Amino acid sequence: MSAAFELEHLAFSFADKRVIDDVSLPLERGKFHGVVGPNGCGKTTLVDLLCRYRLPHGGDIRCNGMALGSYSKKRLAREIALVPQNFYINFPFTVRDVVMMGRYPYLPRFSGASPRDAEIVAAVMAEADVAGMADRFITELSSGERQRVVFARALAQDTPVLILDEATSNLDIGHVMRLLALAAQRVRRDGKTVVGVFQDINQAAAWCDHLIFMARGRIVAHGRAREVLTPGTLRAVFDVDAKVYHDDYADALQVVFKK
Amino acid sequence: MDSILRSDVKRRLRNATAIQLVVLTVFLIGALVLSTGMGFLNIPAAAVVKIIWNKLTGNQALIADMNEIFPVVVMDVRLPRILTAALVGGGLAMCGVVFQGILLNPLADPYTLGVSAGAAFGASLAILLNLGAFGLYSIPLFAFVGAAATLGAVIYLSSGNGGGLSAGNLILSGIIVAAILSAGISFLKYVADEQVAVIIFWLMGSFASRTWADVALSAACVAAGLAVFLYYARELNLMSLGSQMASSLGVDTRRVTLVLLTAASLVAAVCVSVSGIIGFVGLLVPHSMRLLAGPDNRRLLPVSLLAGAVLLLGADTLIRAVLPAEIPIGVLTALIGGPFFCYVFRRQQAARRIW
Repeated sequence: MSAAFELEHLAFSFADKRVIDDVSLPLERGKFHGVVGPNGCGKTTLVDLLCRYRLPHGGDIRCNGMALGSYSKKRLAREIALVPQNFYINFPFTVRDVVMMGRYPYLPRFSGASPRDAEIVAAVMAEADVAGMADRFITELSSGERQRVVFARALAQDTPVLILDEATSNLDIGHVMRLLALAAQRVRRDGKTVVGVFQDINQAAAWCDHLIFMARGRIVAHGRAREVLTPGTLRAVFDVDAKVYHDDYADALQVVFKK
Repeated sequence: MDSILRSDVKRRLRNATAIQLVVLTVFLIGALVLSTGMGFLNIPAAAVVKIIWNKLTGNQALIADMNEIFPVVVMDVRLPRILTAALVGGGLAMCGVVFQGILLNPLADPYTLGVSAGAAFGASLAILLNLGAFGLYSIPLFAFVGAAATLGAVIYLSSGNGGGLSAGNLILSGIIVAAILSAGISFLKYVADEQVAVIIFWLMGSFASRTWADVALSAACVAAGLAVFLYYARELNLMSLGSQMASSLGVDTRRVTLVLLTAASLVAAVCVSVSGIIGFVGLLVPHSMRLLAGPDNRRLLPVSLLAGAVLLLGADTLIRAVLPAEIPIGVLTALIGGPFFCYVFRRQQAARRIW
């Protein structure tokens, strides 16, 4: 079982502040990985490094056994898709235009979208529940609606790896469940790898196979959810008292916190 | 209901790019012929067409029975000026599209990055020192060098660790550099003595007494610019999602930003160098054409190019042939374009929904 990503002694600093400090980690292929940790612990920087939006100051990332740096930009965009935390656009593209941008890594220069591209775009818009607003302008949508469009855009990219950086932070619970179910379906059905940064520990526990706990730029715990999601870990990472139990209704580990 | 209707109209407009391009081209050709006929000496449109056709084909019969001053006025006086005005208008509008796309800001233009200020500084210096070493081309050359150096400084200031060349960094650096340069221009004016009038008039912009050399220079730059911009038009579309997203979609954002910024700055520098400072064309034209053609740069670029050409040609004809005295064109575009822009901007703010 080869890993989708292997991180080795990864380091990254902003000025003098170490944001990622000697992180080594395999991310197994075909699993839903959840990254959790307090604000400013380096989660988003880790995501930036995985997408090669930032370059590490030390260490190495390998994707499918190959150094991340050896991929061309376009090749990498056919490997990894990203749903960012914040998304802001000033120009009135239609929702369909934006989702179609997900097909860019596959289009030769100057050639338009093929019928197959249009098919994929229509399918993911239906799945992400944005088909009804296909002709509306992205600038006129609410932030939650925009986030769903961007999610659809990432699905249209149709990559083996999908990275969600707090991708559901602006959504109502109905759409959170729907989009995370879509991501989980890609993992179970298509064997894709999803790496998601979560703020809500219970969402992470409900959907993820593996959890990665980060604090101060380091990995505190990493492994199967049922092995690492413990009161001890939560104490160490978030400095809170918590109870971890298996909830039969959710059919997952859940956490409640002491006031 | 009203807004849904309006959206529908906008969508239909966007899909009519071919029609827009044809209409604008016809408009531009019509405006070229008509304005060439207008002026102190009135020349009928038919005669203008005959003269141009004569030049193109060498058919002397066309101008045989014509007032012999007409061909001279058309070919040596009016056409160079008119074509330069159209080319500069198109060039500035096109640069506006690119600056707005890269800086993620519908209100950016060739002035935002200080490029025009750099060109103005270079030209003022050339005028002040009375540099004639490169003949006719000294002022354009100095303007160009000034713009290029400014762009270099702005890029150097705004590139750093990680989020280098971000839109916010570029705009801030542009403002800082432009402020220094405008103080520099003030200083040059202060020490210029009798040449101060030349500098001031140059800075206010004018197409008076342009030559075929100006036409050739601006045509070459606008054509080269258009080719580069169209080549990267799709990347520019993706960049409007933000550099992180564009990067994750496989766009080499750093390279595209550098290439497009350099090309747009150089086109803007050449425009400024042949005409002086002409504001609001690069701001207003892309902004209003976006309402017509939509934000897709593959359509917006050619539409803005033609609209900018028509607009500046019209404005130049107005001051040349209609108004009693020839006021500087930069003053006219700012006086008309500024308030119009305020109106458009205000209306958009009012219509924008707040979440």
